[in-house]
Amino acid sequence: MSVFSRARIPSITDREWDLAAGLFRQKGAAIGPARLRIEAGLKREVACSLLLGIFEEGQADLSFLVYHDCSEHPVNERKYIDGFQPVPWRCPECEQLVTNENELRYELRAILRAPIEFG
Amino acid sequence: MSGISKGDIARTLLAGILGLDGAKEATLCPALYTPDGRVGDYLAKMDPLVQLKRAGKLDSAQTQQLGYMLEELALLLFQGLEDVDVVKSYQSAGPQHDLLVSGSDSLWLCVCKLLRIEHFSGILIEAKAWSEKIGDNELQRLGSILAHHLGQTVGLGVFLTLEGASGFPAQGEQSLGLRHSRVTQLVIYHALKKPIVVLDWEDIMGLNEAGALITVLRRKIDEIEHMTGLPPALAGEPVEILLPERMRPLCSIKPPQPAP
Repeated sequence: MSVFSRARIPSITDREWDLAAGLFRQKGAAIGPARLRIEAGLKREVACSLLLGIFEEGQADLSFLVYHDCSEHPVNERKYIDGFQPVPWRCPECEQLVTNENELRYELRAILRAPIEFG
Repeated sequence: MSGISKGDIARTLLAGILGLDGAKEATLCPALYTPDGRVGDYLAKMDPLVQLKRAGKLDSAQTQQLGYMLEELALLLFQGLEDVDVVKSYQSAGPQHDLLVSGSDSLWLCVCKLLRIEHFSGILIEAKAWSEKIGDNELQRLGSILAHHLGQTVGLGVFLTLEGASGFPAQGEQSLGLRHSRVTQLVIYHALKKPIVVLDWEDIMGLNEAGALITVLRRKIDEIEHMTGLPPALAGEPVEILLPERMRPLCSIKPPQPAP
């Protein structure tokens, strides 16, 4: 089990840290800012610090879920290192050509490579 | 619809990096440069023209087309930097330059910080689709514009070229001597504290990846100070560890292994 050090996120509280730790013990778990907010009370910025931290340390694969106006569900997923969806781009859901990036929205998602122990 | 806008998530990522102790600045690069979806098409159309030009087989109409396409590509590339809110094009009888991009929000400030631009100002880009390397005159002219005309608003000059600049090492070469426009580049940098960097066609071909424009510009800017005499690595390449042979076994960071 790999270890992620609490010292990397100075602003996190004891309670947030303990609650978040429970989510990271399962290999393959999918974790995003919304889940961290609901289940551990983390603000979006703190959740991003945590997700970027485990990504930097190679403990998780990080990606952008891409949403389009046409659907409530993600219409694409891109690795974090591949960045945002370039436009113009044809949406695979509605098959319309997206030329305005304001039609797109994003969410982060981390998939754990292995259980992480919060140290 | 779920999710948040590109700008909002990029700003949240910036806040996340600022709240992460020991974070690597480069981690944010993919969120700060998104190549326009048309860049790939431009590169695919331009590359055969560049090869024809190198072979001396381009007619005048194709030469003009290539020049226009390089200017258009400059716009597509640099508007991909996050939070760009000023794009201006200039072409006058006096100082002539092609494109000025700038911004004012937090993400643009982060781009400037990564590019070591002082005073969080703009970038001036000039496209030169010449078959020969650009020389002293071009660097001096851009340096003069940076000093006298856009002194308060521009902190970085960029040439987009096909063949680079005279005196600069090509890929695979090391040139420890200072010659031609490389001297001018250094003089301007030390006088103004503003770098002027030169991208050649091989650099440009690597810019259709998230973050790549920032990575390449940063390596070019760093090279002005580091003076290794080596060309900066292309966008997708890891940076080589440059040490004398006797010191390499002591270095804990290993150079990349050549592909099998």
